[in-house]
Amino acid sequence: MSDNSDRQLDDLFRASRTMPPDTARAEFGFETRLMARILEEREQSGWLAAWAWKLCPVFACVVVALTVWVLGTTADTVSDLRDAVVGASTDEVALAQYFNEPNL
Amino acid sequence: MDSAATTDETLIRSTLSGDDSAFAELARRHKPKIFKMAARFARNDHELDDLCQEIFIRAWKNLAGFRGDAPFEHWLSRCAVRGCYDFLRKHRRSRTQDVPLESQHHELCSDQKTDGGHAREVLAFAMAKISAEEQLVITLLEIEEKAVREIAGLTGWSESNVKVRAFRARQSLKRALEKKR
Repeated sequence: MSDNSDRQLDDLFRASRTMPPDTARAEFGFETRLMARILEEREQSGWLAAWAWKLCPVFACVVVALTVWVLGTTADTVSDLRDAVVGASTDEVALAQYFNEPNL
Repeated sequence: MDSAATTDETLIRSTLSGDDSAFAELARRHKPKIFKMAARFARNDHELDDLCQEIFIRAWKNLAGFRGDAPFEHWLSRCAVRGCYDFLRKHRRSRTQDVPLESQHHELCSDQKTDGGHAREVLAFAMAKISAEEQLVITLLEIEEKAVREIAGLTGWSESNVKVRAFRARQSLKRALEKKR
């Protein structure tokens, strides 16, 4: 049965090969349709690029505003952090001095 | 421009410079081969036209990537194979009852209805039952008579992958044909 199926399949393939598809009807005027489609694609991509250019200043302002905000908050954070470290070290020094006093 | 003397590379350079007529000439030169391959997968003239347009649009968009290592025809064939594969995957679910273009055409020619025409209808029915990958490989291997190495080059799959898919496709087709009886 397997040999029979293989033979049948090979016959089917042979028949497909010997009768090539007729594409003359579909090929007629193909270049015209293709170029119309390409023009459409080009116009669409042109539209996107034009909008991207128009939005550039907006994006630039957003970036600048974000940078200013981040720098502002970072400065406060650094100042707080510095005070915390200095404060901590001052307390630690005082504590060390306390334990080092000869009276303890 | 003298078409006979203008090579594909010249037309490609012109296209990249913005000359649309150069690309139209490229399409005119190479469309017979692309249509012949695409007709194995399309179900009617409308689908065939859509599929071929997709293939050439893909080629147009990626034309700057053509390095000239191999003839333009080979590069375009790769675009065509990938386009056909995407088409098969996209239309897989609706294909089970439909019959491809080549079989429809021969059905219309009633005075030419031969065993060959009937055989192609049967094959089209069985092909609709297998996966897109298997259908692509078996069509390129058995109907287009391409070598395994060539199919691997066109699809980007390894040769062993192509062989495994071809084997599975044959098994699936045989099962489908046995059920049809």
